Amino acid sequence: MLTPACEYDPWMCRQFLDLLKSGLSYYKTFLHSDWTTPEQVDYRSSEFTLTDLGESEESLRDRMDWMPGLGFDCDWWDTSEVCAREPHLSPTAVRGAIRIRNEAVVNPIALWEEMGRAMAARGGKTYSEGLVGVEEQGERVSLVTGGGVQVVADRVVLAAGAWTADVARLAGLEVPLCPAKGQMVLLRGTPHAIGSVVFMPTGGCGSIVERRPGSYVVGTSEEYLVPDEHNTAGVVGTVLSRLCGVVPDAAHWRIEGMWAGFRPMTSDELPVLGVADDRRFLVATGHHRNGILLAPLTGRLIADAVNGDVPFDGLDLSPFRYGRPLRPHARFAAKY
Amino acid sequence: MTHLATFPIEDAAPLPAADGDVLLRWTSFYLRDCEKWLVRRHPLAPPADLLARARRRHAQPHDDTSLSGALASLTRRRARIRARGTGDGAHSALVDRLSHDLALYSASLSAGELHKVRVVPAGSAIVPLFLPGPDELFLPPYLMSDIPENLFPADSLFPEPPKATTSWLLFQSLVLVADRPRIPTLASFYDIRESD
Repeated sequence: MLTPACEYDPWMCRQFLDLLKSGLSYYKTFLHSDWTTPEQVDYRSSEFTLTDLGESEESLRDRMDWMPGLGFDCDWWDTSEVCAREPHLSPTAVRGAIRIRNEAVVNPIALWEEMGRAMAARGGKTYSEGLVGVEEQGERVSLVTGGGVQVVADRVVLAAGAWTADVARLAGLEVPLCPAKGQMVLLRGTPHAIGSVVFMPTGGCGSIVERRPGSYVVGTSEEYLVPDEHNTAGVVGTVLSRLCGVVPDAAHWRIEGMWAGFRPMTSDELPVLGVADDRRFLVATGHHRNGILLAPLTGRLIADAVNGDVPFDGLDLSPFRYGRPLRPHARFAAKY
Repeated sequence: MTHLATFPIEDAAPLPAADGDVLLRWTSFYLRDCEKWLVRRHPLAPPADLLARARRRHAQPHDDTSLSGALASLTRRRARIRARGTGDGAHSALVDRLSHDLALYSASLSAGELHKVRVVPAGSAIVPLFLPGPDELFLPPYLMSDIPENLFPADSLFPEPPKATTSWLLFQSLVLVADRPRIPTLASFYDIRESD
């Protein structure tokens, strides 16, 4: 999901809002080039329905006090409008919704595969045995893989997601991250049951995305104390129960798969972007729930940093700098 | 009482039996909230007998009409308590650690009008509980005697867990209120952001 509107909160710094918006905008540039097409990665513009769920204690309506002022193209829908525009949603579960326009979705797996092919076509190499050592080689850096391969480089970008902290430690760098686990379920159901991405913001950032006609990806959780990749009854049960409450027809959808992943989260929920203390290393991590939204822009910003150029779009990256003071993590309660 | 670049934490004697029974009544009445609190913080788990006692109490016929009154009486009694250290090594160590960790959130706590907290060992609690007014944090023994340096478990996927603080003991404690459909955490009750 590529949704600055659903991911920004007013307590966050304005530079993060700028980053999110620039990330969404940059996707069009990123995909309309010679290595892929939007269709290859299931990219499309989409509206988002940010549902005001009855199970939440607080209404989302207050968000309309500030969302339009921040430039988000959105309207408040009362229950009757939700019923008219999204007829498969049940008004028994939804008190209303904020309809957000001009955002987008992409298939992250397809994107990853296309990027891998493009990189290989340009002579890039992938080493899949992991990184086991970082050594000095004069002024350059020598990376040693688990397969014993040595790669020597002038600059190294650390972008290992939830594992960036472990990788950074090999280089003598400190990147405080917490892996925030999220579980997802893939279902097969009636095509076009929803006309937008339905966001269910209760606890974790739950959502229903129709990736292709009749193929729905539903999630999710934010779990901080569970460093394993298994799906669990509590999370999956809650997510599916919520889905069936919001879209009653989903009770008949077929479960086709489940998986879990880990988001890299800093304690201030902002990414770490830029040059480290050892200037041979650049860090690009901590994107939390916005890894897919910000991946293309992050690549561009890191390239700008390597080349000594001004950051793309004139973005102020100071709140995201490496080495900024970060409190230790204190978030333990799983949300789902 | 600790001071100097720390958050004021008072050290108190364990909860007397009569007050402990009010906590047990509240816990058994709001058992669903307490069980959900535990599930969401797996692998934290109270001793089996502690949880069993709360469940047995819940299963008994109970009069919930006077719970508000019992909480009000508890609040009045606890407001008269003068802090006294227990001399217990584990308790003192936790108080010192909590005082240090909460200092990182002084601005948030002050904005939420929390200026000091008294830590009270409470054998009848199964989760951390907070009593507004006296501003007491009731901690069950299993969370006092063995606070790990780091709650995040290590495994082959993430062999080096991130650094953590004990501040969650306060921020995520359940607030001793009654007559509500859901029990808030302290952070939610005082509208305090836990993160930066």
